[in-house]
Amino acid sequence: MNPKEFLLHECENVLATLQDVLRHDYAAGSSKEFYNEFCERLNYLKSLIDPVELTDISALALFANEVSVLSTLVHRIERSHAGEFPWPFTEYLKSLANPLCKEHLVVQDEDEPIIRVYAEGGLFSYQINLENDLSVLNVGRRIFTIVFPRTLRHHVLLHAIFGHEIGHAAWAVPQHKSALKGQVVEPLREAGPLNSTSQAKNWLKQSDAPAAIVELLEAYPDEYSDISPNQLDSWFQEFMCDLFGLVTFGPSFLAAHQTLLLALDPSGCLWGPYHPPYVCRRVMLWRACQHLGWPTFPAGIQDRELRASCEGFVKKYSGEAPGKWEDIFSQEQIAKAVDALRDILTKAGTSCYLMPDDPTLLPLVKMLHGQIPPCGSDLRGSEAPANRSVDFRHILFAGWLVADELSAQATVTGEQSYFLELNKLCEMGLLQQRAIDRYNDHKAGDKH
Amino acid sequence: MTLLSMYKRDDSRTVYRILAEQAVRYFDHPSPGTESKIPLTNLSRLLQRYRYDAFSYDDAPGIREVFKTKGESQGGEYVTTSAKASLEVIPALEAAHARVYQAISREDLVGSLMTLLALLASSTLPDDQDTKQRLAKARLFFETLSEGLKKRNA
Amino acid sequence: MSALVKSSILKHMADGKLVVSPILCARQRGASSIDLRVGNVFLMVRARGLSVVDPARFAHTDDKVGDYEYEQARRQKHERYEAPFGQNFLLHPGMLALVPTLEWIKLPANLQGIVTARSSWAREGLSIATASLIHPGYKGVITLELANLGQIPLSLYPGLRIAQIAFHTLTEDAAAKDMSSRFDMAFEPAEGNKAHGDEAFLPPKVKQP
Repeated sequence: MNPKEFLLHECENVLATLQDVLRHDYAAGSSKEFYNEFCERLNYLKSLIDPVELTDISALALFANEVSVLSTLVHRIERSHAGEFPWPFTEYLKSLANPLCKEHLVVQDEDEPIIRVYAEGGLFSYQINLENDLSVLNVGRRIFTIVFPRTLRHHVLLHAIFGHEIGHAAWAVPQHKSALKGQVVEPLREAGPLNSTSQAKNWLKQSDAPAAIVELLEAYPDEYSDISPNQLDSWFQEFMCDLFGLVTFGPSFLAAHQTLLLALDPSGCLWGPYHPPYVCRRVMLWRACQHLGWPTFPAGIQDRELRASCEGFVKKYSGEAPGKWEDIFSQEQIAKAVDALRDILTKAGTSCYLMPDDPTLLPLVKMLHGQIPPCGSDLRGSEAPANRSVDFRHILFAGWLVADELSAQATVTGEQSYFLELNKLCEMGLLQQRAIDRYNDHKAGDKH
Repeated sequence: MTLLSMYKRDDSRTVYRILAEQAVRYFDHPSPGTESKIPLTNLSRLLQRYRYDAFSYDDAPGIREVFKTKGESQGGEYVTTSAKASLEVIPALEAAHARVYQAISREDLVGSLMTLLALLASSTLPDDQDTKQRLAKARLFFETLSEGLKKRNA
Repeated sequence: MSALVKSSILKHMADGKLVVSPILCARQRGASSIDLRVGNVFLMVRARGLSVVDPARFAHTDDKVGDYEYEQARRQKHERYEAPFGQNFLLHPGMLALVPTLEWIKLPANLQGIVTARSSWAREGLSIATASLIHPGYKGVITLELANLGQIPLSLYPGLRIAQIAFHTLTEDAAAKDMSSRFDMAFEPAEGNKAHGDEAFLPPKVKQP
């Protein structure tokens, strides 16, 4: 079998696997559009492979990669078994990501991506995998794959970390990338210790750097002393994505960010080719909260107890450290970046997080205290129930606020099961909120 | 590294060379219908990237990739990326731009090409002289681009 | 002991003692009951390679929670399916599926709930009457044990009203120690220990095949 024959043979295998997947209950949601998209890609690819000469080595090598991409994708749909990830959360996540990922294309009905979801093992799985149309020829509608960690399936509070991942997704869309680079990243780059690689290297060696940084540099000078231009580019993309997470998910993002990152690097001082030290990211988020006026702006939380709890929360999960080594951006830089980001998001049709007022947040917190899933459900026993529309991100914020209270109690009692229970209550609340919104939208549609 | 992973490649030059060649064929033989959907979609993306200067594909690992423990793989990610490879496409695009559409901006160039591609994709292609000239110019742009991408040091 | 009419149900809810959340519309409340909707999880009971219901598997002190035999016996017979709103689930004739309600229920110490099928569905062969008593003090979703007794498949969608719950007052408040149950704070159907308290009637040890 020559390379061309094998590739055509493998195209048939991929098609057979795709059809095999339909045998099972795997394909809830966007099954049909995925199937159709996939068949179109396969047919297109075969039409490219068929006439190619065996001497056209670069084309054959490229087509091998294309077949491999399709093989991976079909495997993913097989893996997206319904029941391994939280549907209601995923639906909300899609509503944030979809407007951002819309493309301006010649074929107009192809502009929205197909979003698939699957669960992966390992604590490091949170990811939105993007199709890279720069190195892959055979991309029709883009397929984005949201990856949840299998073991954290019910932990919707932690899923706020996806705010960061949506940032990466937006970065892959040309018109957003250009705006994000010019209006969000540039203000961050224009001053401070990460302004250039030489300044960055000096900054690492500053005498006021945390002890963990000093130890790291002493122990592994070859690995850690140098910072390349590419590394700085990646770091700034990460800073941008952190701001993205904060602006889209609100304070829940702070808590998820800290919980996950510090659990894996308690020092907060590790860095790598893609990621800057967590301590710097945390201070940046604190400055961003300052600029946004959170948690008391715009409507303001008037209830004294709730207000104190919100203020304590934002303080705890963002890193107030003005003037310290890790405080690498000025307030003006952050203000510019955050304002530009909010502007970009609003223009794209993705809603930024707005702090809730008392009547929105208090009932959610109260429901959680009463072990009732938090949502806009009218519990008053009214003759005609007046269920409210509640932004799913407020449900997450309420969940985190209560988690914080219970965490303090758990420190005393040693009882840790509260966190899973709270997550499940919030997950149920998201499901119920979707039902409320769906019902109310339908009713409103009927009236019109 | 597995035996076969060494063959994974990012060949943006070939990707865009094939796309440009298809565009030329498409200008010669417009065929509205589903078979042209994927190449047209990717041509749109190529042009959008040129317009917004968004070529380098920056790898987007998961938020906690930095802490990956020993032995953990990339989670089956199939995308191999290299900013360098995709950046090689830019000189060829700029050369085609300069040769065929000297005076106009990137934004106007992309707007104009997208309009013509949409026109080709529709079944109502005007038969007037002006349209024919514009189509011939656009065809020349893609031909120049594909030639440029064939050269090793474009 | 008497059944509550709508006004009494509403009063209990207004007092915060009774919770049924969410109630999407006024129509969901009957003269003396509240309709319950299908949630989005379906546990289909399927005969698989090692499926068996044998209380003896739960009875042995050396087969504790977490032990292979104990857990395997519980998990070998359900296939889980999760459907978003708008997607159906087919309940085939003769099939049994465990389905949580969309609603979250909290009962006070002086009320018990009785769950039955809505008559329109019962007439199509849908049975929900297998475990209908909800004890006072309960909080969580209610697991509906759905069986299709007809001859044609039933298409069920998350959000559909298929069951109803009526409330009965008790002669006095149930004692706190009697109200706790392992099904409390249930988010999904869970299996009960069918041996608990009846070990005397079960063989001393069953070896796994």
